[in-house]
Amino acid sequence: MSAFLRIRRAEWQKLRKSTIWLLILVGPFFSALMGGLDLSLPGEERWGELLTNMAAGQGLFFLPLFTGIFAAFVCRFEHLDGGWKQLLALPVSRATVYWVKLVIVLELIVAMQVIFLGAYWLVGELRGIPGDIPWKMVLTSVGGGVLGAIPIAALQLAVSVGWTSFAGPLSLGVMLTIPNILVVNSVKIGPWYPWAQPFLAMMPRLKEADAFGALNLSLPTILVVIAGGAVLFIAAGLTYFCRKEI
Amino acid sequence: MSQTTASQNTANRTPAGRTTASRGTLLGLFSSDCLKLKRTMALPLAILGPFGVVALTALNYGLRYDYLYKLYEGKHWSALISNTIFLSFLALLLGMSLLASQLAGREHQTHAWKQTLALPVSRLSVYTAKFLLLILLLSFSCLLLFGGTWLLGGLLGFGWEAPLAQLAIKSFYPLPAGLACLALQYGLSVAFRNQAIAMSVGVLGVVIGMYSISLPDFIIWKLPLLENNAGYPEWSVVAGTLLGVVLFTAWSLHFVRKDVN
Repeated sequence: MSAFLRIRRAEWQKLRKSTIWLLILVGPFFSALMGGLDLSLPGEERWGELLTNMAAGQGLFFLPLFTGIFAAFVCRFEHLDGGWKQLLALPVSRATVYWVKLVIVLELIVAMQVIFLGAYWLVGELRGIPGDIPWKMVLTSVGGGVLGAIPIAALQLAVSVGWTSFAGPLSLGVMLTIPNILVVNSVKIGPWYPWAQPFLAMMPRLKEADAFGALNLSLPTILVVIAGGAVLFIAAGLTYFCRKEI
Repeated sequence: MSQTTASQNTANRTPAGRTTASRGTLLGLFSSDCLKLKRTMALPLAILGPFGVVALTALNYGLRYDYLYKLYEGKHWSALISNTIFLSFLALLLGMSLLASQLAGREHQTHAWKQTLALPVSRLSVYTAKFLLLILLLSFSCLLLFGGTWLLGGLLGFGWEAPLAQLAIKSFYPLPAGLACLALQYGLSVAFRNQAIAMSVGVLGVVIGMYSISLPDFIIWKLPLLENNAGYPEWSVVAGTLLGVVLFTAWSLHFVRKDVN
């Protein structure tokens, strides 16, 4: 465990002076910008409407896309100028290094979601929405987004470790994210598509009449799919990284 | 006296030497860039883009053929073409960022800029050659998209007599209309060694593109969608090309003065 913490600290040291914090702000900023503009429901119902609007952008695009960018980012230093061999020449196990990288990506995602929460509150206050924030709904949504991003983070990290180019893994991520527009409309494919999970987990439960496509799946169903995907992709990535020639 | 002659000789020789060199430079650099492309992901990506767009449209039609067939009764071809361009212009925006980043990133990663610039070539030619190569690769993608959409429509049973003019407009116009985006991405990829910067801007551009239908016309990521207030796709093409030339010139001036290592 202490090895894990020490490597984690070293990883943060590498990220500290980078521009990555700027990337964390982009998603929440744009989803707030796009989601906060037209609100039509009366009174306290607006909190729910605002969440639906903002979660749509964040879950459908920003979470899957930025997960890919973060994963590529934590591998960038190692791909440059033989960083992998320097890192792995230290008395650390490859599996620990891999876990640390994954945890760093997830921590960045959590940070992004926390800022999303802040942006949500800010937009709500600025638009003068009356009443209290529906905390249970909002926290389920924000937390669900983090969980939904885990399988994507695992897969993107596996690809980023293997692919030296920064653009390569990212293009894979974007190419698999664009179909989201179509996939979430499908009851059959939607629940099984990893890139749609953040969206499905983040969207608040809608009234029967408003729900479409794969929305309003029961939370246990989503969680099972997410857990299955996460286990599969983490196992694949770990196995690959532990046997990879550096 | 002899010194003056020597300097005169050099003065006489240099302009002539320069013209012979510059005649071959751009072409030579271009073919050397083509050579560097071998065994990289650039060409597969240029093929994969249009293939993915056509495959996704096919999937969309395959999943709900009856519904869409009824919905677009009587205007199957134009519906297919407008459905395709909404995906293809996003793929094009993405492809621009990716290819630009790949081409420039490889030079950064292998410290090849200083090697190339140590040769007797002008910096402007070095910068232009890669840009031309990008345009060539993307034109190839557009051509594949043109053929692929035609093939898909035919296979879906819309008849093989497609409205070719409309299909050609929606397949080929987005590239010149997106020249501004391409110039921006290419400039960023070359200027910053850290490809995360260019790629983040590129990804952001794709997301802005997704929402661009409701955004004002001067947003450069909207131009390749060919939608504008004027109502002519040519407006987007002209605006995109002009802006592209301006951006390309600005970035090339930056490259000419840049310190490379």
